[in-house]
Amino acid sequence: MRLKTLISLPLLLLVAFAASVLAQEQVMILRHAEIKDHQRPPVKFNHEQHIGKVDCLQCHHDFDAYMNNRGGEGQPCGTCHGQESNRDTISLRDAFHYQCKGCHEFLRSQGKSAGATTCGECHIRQR
Amino acid sequence: MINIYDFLAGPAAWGSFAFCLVGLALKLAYFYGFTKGTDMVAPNQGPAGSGSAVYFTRPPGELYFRSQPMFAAAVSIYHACLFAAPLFLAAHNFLLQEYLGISFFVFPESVSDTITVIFFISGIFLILRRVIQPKVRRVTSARDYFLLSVSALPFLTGYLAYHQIGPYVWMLVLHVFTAELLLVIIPFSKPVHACLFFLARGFMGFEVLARRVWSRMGVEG
Ligand code: HEC
Ligand code: HEC
Ligand code: HEC
Ligand code: HEC
Repeated sequence: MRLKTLISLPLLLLVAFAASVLAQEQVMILRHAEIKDHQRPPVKFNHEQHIGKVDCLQCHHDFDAYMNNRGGEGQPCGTCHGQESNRDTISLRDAFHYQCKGCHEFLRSQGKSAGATTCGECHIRQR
Repeated sequence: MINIYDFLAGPAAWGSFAFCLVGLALKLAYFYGFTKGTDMVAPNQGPAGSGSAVYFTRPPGELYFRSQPMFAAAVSIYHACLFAAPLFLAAHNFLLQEYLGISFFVFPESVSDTITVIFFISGIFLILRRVIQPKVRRVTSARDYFLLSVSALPFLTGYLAYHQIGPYVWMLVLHVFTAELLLVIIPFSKPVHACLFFLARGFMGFEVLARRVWSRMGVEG
């Protein structure tokens, strides 16, 4: 009995540790189930790297009735943006394209270094 | 490198579209003045011309569909793909939506990919025809191969870029550059038939309606 707990406790901790590491994994693979029938390869997104460069609220938002951003960090974009655009929100695809590409393009127009702006720099084919 | 892309996909793209349209307009104006004193092709335009244009492109209609079915099929498929591939391509329309807030109907990317391959096959057929058939080879000059290649290059580079074969951003740069090259030479080379074709057909419509030359010639309409 005691031996079993002795062995399983570190194991449990290890699993928990591994899970938390995975959950906070630096590079996210963006491939949302809200988008049906993906045509393009998934996009690798380095959350850590971006946090170091831009404020959370530049990307995460939860607008109130007066269009103030109340934050809402960590809510998946897909809770509000869906497969198709509707009256309230643009589609998930457009949400990513406008936000990711928009910032990169803006920064580049300011002469700063920035991330990808062409299709294949984000949707990288694996081979 | 990405700055070259930004320039080509931005100002240079607007520039070459504008150049192409203005060039075509000038060409039409020139053609109008030029034929006014001679055969009146441009001034004499009949409403049956649009019907004539459709008649020409519709498979059983025009004579060459019956006499040269293989060539007619290749030419038709070539032209259909030439327009369908770029116009209804997802990537082009996403950019159009971003720049102008408009977009066309969009094909699934696998469909556009297939259309591109069909374009190559029909293009190769057209080139081989010029090489193999003596009566066509005789009227073929280097310019014809050049034009066929220039119109194929944007497709080739676009295809390679989409499949991410070769250095990606360079491929995109080449893609945009060759497409702009094509736009710029259209008004001043054989591809101008994209525009003048309708004039020629409109003239025939005029002949049929106003002068009824076809019935006098004994050709059934
Ligand atoms: C450059 C844009 C960007 C910035 C800046 C950013 N995030 Fe995110 N964040 C995202 C994206 C995109 C996702 C993935 C959302 C999804 O999957 O729908 C995400 C996901 C998350 C998640 C969920 C993680 C998970 O594993 O599900 C949390 C929590 C989070 N962000 C918190 C933050 C905090 C806190 C900050 C500021 C320190 C921040 N983010 C800055 C874009 C950003
Ligand atoms: C709580 C719901 C919610 C979440 C979560 C959410 N959005 Fe939005 N988003 C909205 C609403 C509502 C709008 C429309 C605001 C408006 O009318 O301009 C919007 C607008 C946008 C826009 C349009 C440009 C702008 O800023 O006005 C972009 C781009 C966008 N969202 C991207 C994202 C991304 C990327 C994520 C995930 C990191 C995300 N959104 C998460 C609700 C949400
Ligand atoms: C508010 C601005 C901003 C937004 C929004 C943003 N990025 Fe970035 N991105 C940056 C900056 C800044 C860099 C860093 C450029 C550098 O350091 O050279 C970057 C770099 C990148 C890179 C290149 C990483 C590398 O190692 O070179 C990728 C890929 C990328 N971003 C993807 C995304 C994706 C996907 C999204 C949307 C989910 C996104 N970005 C949203 C600002 C942004
Ligand atoms: C800055 C990075 C970035 C760029 C540049 C970019 N995309 Fe995306 N794209 C994304 C992200 C992130 C998603 C959301 C993927 C997901 O979570 O499923 C997406 C989604 C998509 C989708 C819907 C999902 C799918 O696979 O069918 C398509 C189609 C798409 N992109 C095509 C394109 C095309 C075409 C271009 C070039 C005109 C392009 N993208 C440029 C980041 C980018």
